[in-house]
Amino acid sequence: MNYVVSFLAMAIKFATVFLFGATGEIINQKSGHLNMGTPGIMYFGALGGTIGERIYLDTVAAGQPLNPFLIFLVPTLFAILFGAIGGFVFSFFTVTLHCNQNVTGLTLTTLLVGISCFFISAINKEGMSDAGLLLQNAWPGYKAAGWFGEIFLSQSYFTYFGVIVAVGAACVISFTRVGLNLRAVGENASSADSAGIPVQKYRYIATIIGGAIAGIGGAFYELDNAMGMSFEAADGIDAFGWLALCIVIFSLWKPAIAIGASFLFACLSIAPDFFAPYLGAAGFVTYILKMAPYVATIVVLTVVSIVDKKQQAPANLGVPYFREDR
Amino acid sequence: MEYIRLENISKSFGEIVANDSISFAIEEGEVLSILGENGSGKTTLLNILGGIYRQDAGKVFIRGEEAVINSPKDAYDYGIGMVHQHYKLVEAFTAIENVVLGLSRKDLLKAYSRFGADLAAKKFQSCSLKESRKYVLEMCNRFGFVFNPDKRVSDMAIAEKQSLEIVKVLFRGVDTLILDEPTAVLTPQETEHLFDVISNMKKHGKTVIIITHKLNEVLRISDRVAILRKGQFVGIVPTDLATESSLAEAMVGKAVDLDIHRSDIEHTGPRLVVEHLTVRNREGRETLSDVSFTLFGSEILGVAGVSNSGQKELLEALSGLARDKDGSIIFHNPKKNRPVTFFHKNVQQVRALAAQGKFYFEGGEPCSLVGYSNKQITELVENRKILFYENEIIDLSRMKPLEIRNYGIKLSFVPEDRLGMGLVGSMSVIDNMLLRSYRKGKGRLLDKTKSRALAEEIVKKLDVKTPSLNTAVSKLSGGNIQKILIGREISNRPKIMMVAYPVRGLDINSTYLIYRLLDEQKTKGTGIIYVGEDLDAMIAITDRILVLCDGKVTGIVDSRHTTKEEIGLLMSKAE
Repeated sequence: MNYVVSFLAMAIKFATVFLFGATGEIINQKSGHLNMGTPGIMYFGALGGTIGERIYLDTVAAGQPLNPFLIFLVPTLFAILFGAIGGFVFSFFTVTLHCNQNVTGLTLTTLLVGISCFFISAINKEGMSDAGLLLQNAWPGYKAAGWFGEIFLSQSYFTYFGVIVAVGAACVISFTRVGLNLRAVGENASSADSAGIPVQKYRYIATIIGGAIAGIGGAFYELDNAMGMSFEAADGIDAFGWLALCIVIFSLWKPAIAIGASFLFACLSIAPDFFAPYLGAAGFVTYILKMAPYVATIVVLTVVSIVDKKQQAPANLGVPYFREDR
Repeated sequence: MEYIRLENISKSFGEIVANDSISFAIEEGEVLSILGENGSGKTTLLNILGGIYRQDAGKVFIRGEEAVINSPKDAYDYGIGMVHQHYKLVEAFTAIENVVLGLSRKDLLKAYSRFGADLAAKKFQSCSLKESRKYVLEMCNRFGFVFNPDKRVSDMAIAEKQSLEIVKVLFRGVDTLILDEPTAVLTPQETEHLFDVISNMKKHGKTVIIITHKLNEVLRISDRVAILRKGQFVGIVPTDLATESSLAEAMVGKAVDLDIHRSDIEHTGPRLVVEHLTVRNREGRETLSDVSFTLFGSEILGVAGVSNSGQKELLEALSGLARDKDGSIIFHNPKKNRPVTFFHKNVQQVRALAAQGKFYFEGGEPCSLVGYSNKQITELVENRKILFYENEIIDLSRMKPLEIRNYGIKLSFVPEDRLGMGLVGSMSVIDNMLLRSYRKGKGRLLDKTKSRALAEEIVKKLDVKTPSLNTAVSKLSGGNIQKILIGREISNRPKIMMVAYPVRGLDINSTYLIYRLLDEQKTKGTGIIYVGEDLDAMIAITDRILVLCDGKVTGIVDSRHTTKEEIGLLMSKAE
């Protein structure tokens, strides 16, 4: 029982990184932008988050208590800023300069991973592991609620915020005029244009917002999950970014489904390390188990391509739009 | 009263000058036709008015004031709405979602009040889809549209999509409606309905601008007609003072012969014998039932029917694309007294057929090939010494599309999807020629010299307007694309040709050129199956007409002794 509870709690926590990444990318893709820069943007968000936390920690005088909510808020704002910059760069190249989306995205990821790795490792991480522990303090008395509290109330501010963002994005996309316009831009940009929707503006804004959301995912991973300390030893955040791209397809471009899908992928991702201590001599199996999320990705892509007869993907995904092109 | 005035509008795409300093005025409340050949710049000019293109030079004045139109939204703000030839609808959305698309709350409130909402009486007016639906339906009542708000665009027929486009534009409260080739894809009945809609809009005080090249429509519906030729403005005349031939002459720049020529020649025996052909679609429903007919060589057989009566399925079945089919399709390969080749046969097959007594030697003596070595047979065939006694009879019903093609049975152009099935839009004229012949080259490398020669020949012979042979096909106008496609298909001497709606959306010159090419092909012995919708033209060009109704053949009539009414009756004769 204890194992189950702590496994589920860990999985939910880990799902946060996927959820932000997938939600951000869904917003990107709904506008017709296949943004493969998202893994890099998540990394860049992690850099922003780390800078934000350093700044906050430095403003608090030694010996003074830290405010858990501010440990969440300040890095998040920085992550949003950095993620938005990433999204802006992508849009600038694809919308304004008419560059190919795939090439731009891949280049952006390579560039941002390098920049972020370099600067994150250069930042003084003193105090970050204590700060990371405090992030889980959203509901201090969670132990009173038994297993329910352990699983659902022990999570960090980031996790609850991620769910709110995903549900919010789902509502905006499905139920508002802005959402309708956004979907139209991704489905058929030239129709949207002739209906009077400013296509370029929508693509810019969707990509910037999507980048900002994805950036928070990176900050979460660095500050909460890795607590600033084990960063160099951890898997690169970009790896989770690629998985987030797959979750987008798996959830059929619906942020609400992405919540469940992120949880599923998180289970697969943490299972190897979680069960490794119990495997004993067979510990080498973990290396094979670690392939699970990637194998799942291949399975998901295959199944979706067979089952998805209705073509859930936005029809103009990856298609550039310039009004005067013939 | 003068309403919109264009002054010295110019627009170029690269080296192509689409509009060359065009000036004229549009009156308020009139129906104006813009007439011109393909590539004459009609669509470009109106796209400038509709906000899709920005002019390089020149000015637009609306009610005497200069109007700056930078986007479709600006155009709406000036009360100008455009229905494009290729509809600008989001397929995955419902009708009502498409109508309100891109409208802000302010726009919606304006639209509501235009169509009966009393905004002052209500404290808060919701702008939900439910509210919008109410006022869109109210508007449709006013203009006489049938409108199903919850139907998905992808489930709509073409005429429904068009009326949705018009509803969408009208709901935005436009005073001027631009229709780009509105009748190109409509049946005669749907066209009639559209004309009713247009006169209804005129009654409501709207200005309607129609881009077209169909002379009879111009005369029928418009008050005045403006004529463009090669990007230049030729003139504007009241329709009362115009005739079909005067308009054609103004449009083309020289007198045009509007007669369709049909050569009266003997047919050369059966070419394709279809018996009891039944085709089922993916869901297992019969789309063709028990179709039997014979196509002769040197004959054009028309296929008439209302849309979706099985025309497409028939062509697909004959070309091997339909999988689930019964019945026989027998091809009589015209080989009588012609040399045996290795094109479809290997040495063993030649030997087997010779043993059955199918061949004779050049001199006339029978040839059983008994006792000949493979090498000797190869030599004889290559030197064309062995000839057929009779036409070769081949069953096509179980063959793959490629094998069927290799017998010279060409499914040529389905213009609804000219670029999809016929040509690759982003490839050059030369490379599109290569698509048919790339298998033939020796070695691994592509041989472009022949393709270049063929492309040159087609461009010259059919007067294709293209900046160069390396221009991507998608950059050319519809008529020129069609010419390239038909030119390529004719070039390798087909034995059977299937054409579907070959002149849909084409200008006069291209249309008559295509009719001439088909007739010429007929005199060369080709059997042609012609699927079309313009019954007058079909009666004029074909020898016989097969009428389909709901997948069944309701009659085969002689074109020389039939009437439109007789065919119309057969088209609706469901059992």
